[in-house]
Amino acid sequence: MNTTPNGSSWLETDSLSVHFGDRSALESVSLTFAPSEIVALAGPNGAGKSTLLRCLAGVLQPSHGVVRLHGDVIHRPSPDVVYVPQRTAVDWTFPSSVIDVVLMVRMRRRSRFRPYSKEDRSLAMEHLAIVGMDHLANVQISQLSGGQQQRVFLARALLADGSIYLLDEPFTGIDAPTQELISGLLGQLCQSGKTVISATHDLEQAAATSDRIILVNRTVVAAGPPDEVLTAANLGAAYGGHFSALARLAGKDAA
Amino acid sequence: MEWLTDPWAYPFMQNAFLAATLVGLICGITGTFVTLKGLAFMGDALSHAIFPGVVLAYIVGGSFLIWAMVAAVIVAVLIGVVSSHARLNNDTAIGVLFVGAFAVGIAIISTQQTYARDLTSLLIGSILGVSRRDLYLTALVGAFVVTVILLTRRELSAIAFDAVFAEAFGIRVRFYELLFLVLLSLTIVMSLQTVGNILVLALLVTPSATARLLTVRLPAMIGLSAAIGAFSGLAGLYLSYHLAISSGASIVLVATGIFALVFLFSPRTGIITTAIRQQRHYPHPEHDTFASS
Repeated sequence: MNTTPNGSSWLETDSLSVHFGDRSALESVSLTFAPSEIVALAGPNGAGKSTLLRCLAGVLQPSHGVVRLHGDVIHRPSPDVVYVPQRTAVDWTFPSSVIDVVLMVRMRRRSRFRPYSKEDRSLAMEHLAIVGMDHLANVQISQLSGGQQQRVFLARALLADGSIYLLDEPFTGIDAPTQELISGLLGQLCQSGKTVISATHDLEQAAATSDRIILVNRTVVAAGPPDEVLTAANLGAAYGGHFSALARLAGKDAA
Repeated sequence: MEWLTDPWAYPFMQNAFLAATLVGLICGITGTFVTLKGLAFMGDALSHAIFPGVVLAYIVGGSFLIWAMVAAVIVAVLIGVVSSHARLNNDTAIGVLFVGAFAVGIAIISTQQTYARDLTSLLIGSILGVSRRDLYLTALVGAFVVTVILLTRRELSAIAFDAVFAEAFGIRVRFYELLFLVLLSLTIVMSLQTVGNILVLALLVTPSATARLLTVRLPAMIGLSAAIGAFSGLAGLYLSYHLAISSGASIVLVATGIFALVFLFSPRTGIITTAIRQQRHYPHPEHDTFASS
């Protein structure tokens, strides 16, 4: 069920389960991720996509099972894994400018006794330029549109420079040009040998931009290339019987 | 001029002025993060939670600071334990425990002969009783709190902006949250003699809330909040001296008055200013195109 593109243990979960109180969010999830691949975690709301991302990020400790990064079990976040939170999970009225948000990831390199250096600022500006936001560097973040917010998050993630990128709903509620820009940048990350894993509920988007789709609903329903995974049977299992329209759409894709 | 210089003739007033300004300043700085992290309720809880510690220090003797910190730590840990129960959230845990702790304090102090007077001075402060030694201690604790906040400003603001990202980025969120609660407790204890147990929350929340309405930059917000806090302390004490009203109350009323003015008239966000601006842009909404149809 779960494909392993090559034998290396780059990032993997081994019978991962997460329980919140007596509610089970994830049940025995075993997955392997390889360098240079774009993976979409798809599934209905509440399927445990964000929970799985948080486990991979090392923020949430699983109730059972482990996450291994480069062969080692992780117990806390690694600088090699870059997490991009869901846009709506953040307080955008916070008194910060666009460049402040990007500079955040230079914190570790800068002594707490000093302000950010010219180098930090010019790096932040460079990365804002990549996402086309350098002209808004000094704007207060509450004035950004959804697409602009997501661009800022991506600029910050690129500056953080890890080898694994975890994105929570990066394409939700943003304009078409931003969607295109982001999927282009994620493609470049993949080409430079990084792993990109994003949670999404947009199956079409996932099918068009990912090498592999993992259908999740509390456990792994199916995993593999989009045309193998998006079958009527799998979608029925992941979304329940109500999503006949989805299943028809996917059936067409798979045919 | 005499109105300004008169009160300074008395040594106890000099101490009081310094204490009020200092406490306003430091509460303004700590308060910025209380406001940003939405911790007003936690601040209220802590100020009540340390009450039994303060009462014990008062009766048994010893340092206010140490007793109060012990009480704060015990209550903070209990809040953690109670809120980790799946069916109770953090707010509920805080609500249950802070009133409980407060009641313990009142129960202890009610065993004393001078019950009524002691209780009043703890609840609303006794700024005229501030000694030189108290002042030095306030300055020392304040300097410590402000230094630590400034050194951890990046972590504290990253956590306030987005705790999950901060955690994923490798910031030890729990450690910094605990550290901040300790700093908040120290700020509250330091302020007790000046404004008392009940009103300290106003100095933590009101100046920073005012600053938040005036600026969208964090450093400016910290500076403005500190300035408004310090001014409230100073101006409030003058008012208290000349109008013969409770010093704690008049300090808080000055801060509240500034907040009200800014809330109504601030150039960018004031509700009256905004209404006037809209009126100017759309002077006659009833003459829309719809009116002709």
